Amino acid sequence: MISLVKNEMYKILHKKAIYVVAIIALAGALLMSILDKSITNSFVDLNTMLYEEQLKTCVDIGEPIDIQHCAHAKAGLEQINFIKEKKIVNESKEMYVVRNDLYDAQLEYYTLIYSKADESAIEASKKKVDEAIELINNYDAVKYINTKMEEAKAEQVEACSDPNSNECIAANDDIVAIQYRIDNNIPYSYNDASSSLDSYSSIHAKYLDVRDKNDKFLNYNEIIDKRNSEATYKTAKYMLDNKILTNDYKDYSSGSELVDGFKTLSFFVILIIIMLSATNVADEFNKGTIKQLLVKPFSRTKILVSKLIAVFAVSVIFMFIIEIGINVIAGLVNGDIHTIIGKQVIFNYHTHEAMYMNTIVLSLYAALLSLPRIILLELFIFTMSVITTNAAFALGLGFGAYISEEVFAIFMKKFPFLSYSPTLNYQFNDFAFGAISPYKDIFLTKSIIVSVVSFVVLLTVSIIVFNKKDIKNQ
Amino acid sequence: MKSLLEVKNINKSFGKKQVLHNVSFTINEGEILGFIGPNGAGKTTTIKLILGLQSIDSGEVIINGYDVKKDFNKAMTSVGAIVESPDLYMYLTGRQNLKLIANYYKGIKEEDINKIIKLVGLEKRIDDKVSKYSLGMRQRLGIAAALLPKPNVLILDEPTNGLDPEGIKEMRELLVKLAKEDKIAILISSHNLSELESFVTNTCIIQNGKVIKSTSVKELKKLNETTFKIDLNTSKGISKLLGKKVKIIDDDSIEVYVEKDEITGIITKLIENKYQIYQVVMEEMTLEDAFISVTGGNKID
Repeated sequence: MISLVKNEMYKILHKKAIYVVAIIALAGALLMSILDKSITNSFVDLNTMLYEEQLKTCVDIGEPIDIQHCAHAKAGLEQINFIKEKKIVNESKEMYVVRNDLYDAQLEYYTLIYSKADESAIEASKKKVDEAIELINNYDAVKYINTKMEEAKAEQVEACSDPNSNECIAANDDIVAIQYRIDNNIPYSYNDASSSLDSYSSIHAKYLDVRDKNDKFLNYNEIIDKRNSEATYKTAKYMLDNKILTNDYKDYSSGSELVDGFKTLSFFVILIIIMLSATNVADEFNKGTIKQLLVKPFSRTKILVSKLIAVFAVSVIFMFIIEIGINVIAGLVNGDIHTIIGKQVIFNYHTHEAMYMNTIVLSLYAALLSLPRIILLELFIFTMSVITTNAAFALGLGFGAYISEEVFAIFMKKFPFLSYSPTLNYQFNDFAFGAISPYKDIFLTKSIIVSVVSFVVLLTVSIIVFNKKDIKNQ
Repeated sequence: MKSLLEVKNINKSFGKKQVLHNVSFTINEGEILGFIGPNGAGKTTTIKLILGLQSIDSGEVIINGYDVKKDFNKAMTSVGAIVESPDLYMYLTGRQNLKLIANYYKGIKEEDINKIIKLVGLEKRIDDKVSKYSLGMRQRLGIAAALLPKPNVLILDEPTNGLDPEGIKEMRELLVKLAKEDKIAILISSHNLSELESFVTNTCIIQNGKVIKSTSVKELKKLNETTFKIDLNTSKGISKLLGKKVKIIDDDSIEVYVEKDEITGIITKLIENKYQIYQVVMEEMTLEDAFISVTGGNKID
């Protein structure tokens, strides 16, 4: 049996097509990474046109029709002009002040102008704008944080007359987040760490809002929302408690993309699975080589199973080559290759705790949970290929099965029986660490049963057909 | 003598059409059976049934004492075969193809592979991809592949396809040697009878899925009438005189088909009827003639 599997793998690994796919995948990854790096999503580029259009539509017969809307557009454009004039870059600390303090001041200023307020009020507002500009021109990160801290403390005094009020909790969260900035030297900016700290109190608020709701009275989407809120808050808290947020921290890194790659599998991995499964048996029949194989002293069942194992093994090998290759290339181009051997925070729904896990371990776990999908996709195409001995037909059905993952999900509400489709039930990464499927009718027990039954049925059918097949005369 | 391959009353139908009717033959050790029949007679189907490539409707095939249906693995352990054409992986080299086959059996060493390569004369091109081989070279590699597991039953379906005369001669010598020295039982099918004639020990003639003659080559030839070519002054009136046994070639020559001891009677008859005989030549019957006379031509019904 081992010699059969070895031979089958030898044959597969000597075919060029599989390497062509792998090389295209890796070359594509290199190209995408380089392109990705060259495109900087600058705030100015993304928003200039938006504000201009908004400003155009907000004026009717020379009069602003929606004061808030117009003031927002005008303040937006002013801030962009300022950014351009001062050449402020995206990731800089000043950018944060421009887009918060300066924008807020200008929003107020233009709201007053459009609503034709008192001269004195406008004058006072103009002064605030000047102060904001002054703040940027003489920017001092420490001073800025300290000011924010003073404001937060003042807020706390005001909000915590009732210590259990949501306002008080939010004020406390703000202080925790600012203190973290001071302790860990994370100034206000638009890097991922600073953004996380900024949203900390609102994440907590959202969690508190849904925490005590009874699942019985929630629909499925609300349940998912509730679970996500908990995961998001506890993950954020874990990152603060364990000082994981640093200025280098990225929400999306080559490391997290690697784990994600093993969860979803890149199209090229799917292509290899479909290609190998569709052609492995059919090609031998079409080229007549199957005869040479079947006259060897092995049962047909053993021959078929060894082919299945070989295709599966090569698919898994290439899954690792492609997923690791793509993200190592991205890591080298982006300069965050270290995240691949680093750690990641994940949320465990069983224990309701966030935890730190090694990226490699996490990737292997995701890969393991992708195996049922690989096995069932392979076995389905394999069975079709054995029945028809037509590679093109099996290839088409393979792609059909792959596409059905998305299509059936869309039509599942209208046709509930689709929830029994193996292609909707073989995605075990959806259940990792106690998570639930994004679809109401898919749950772990059902997925296990559907997958096991499909596996047994397909394997039995393919073995029976293969054993009964007469090798027709040429 | 030990019989290594026994085919007993095998039947096979494709749908309603029965393609094999009670086909039986036996090959003993050291024998080479020429499996002869016109195209479509059921040669390849028979071979596929023997090798388990198609299911047997009824009857049995025994190889080395094992029933192919019940003990497939044991029956196939010492069988080498080429069916229809040498089935090789075109994207691999000749040597890689042989290595794959060696992996299926225990105890085939690198030197065994080299020996076989030398035996079929492929040393120079063995590391080229098979896709670059000529048909003849593929045929040689196919034979090497069939011989690699050291079989005692060798089944070759039209193995001379694509071989040049020199190649055919070499293969013939090789098969005779294998049968004589290694006591291998060989089944060889071919429609090119003249190639088989000189070296098969037995023949089995199949037509429309039925074995119509199974005998040794010597007996097959003996069994049949011999052709005598007679040159004489005129062929007029001969048909009337001799009946169905004669064929008029032209004005002054005829062919007579009779058994050897009848020819004196014929000659006497001709002389009595005032024909002048210039020459009588006995034409040696070839296997092909025997075949045609047995099957009644190459018709497929």
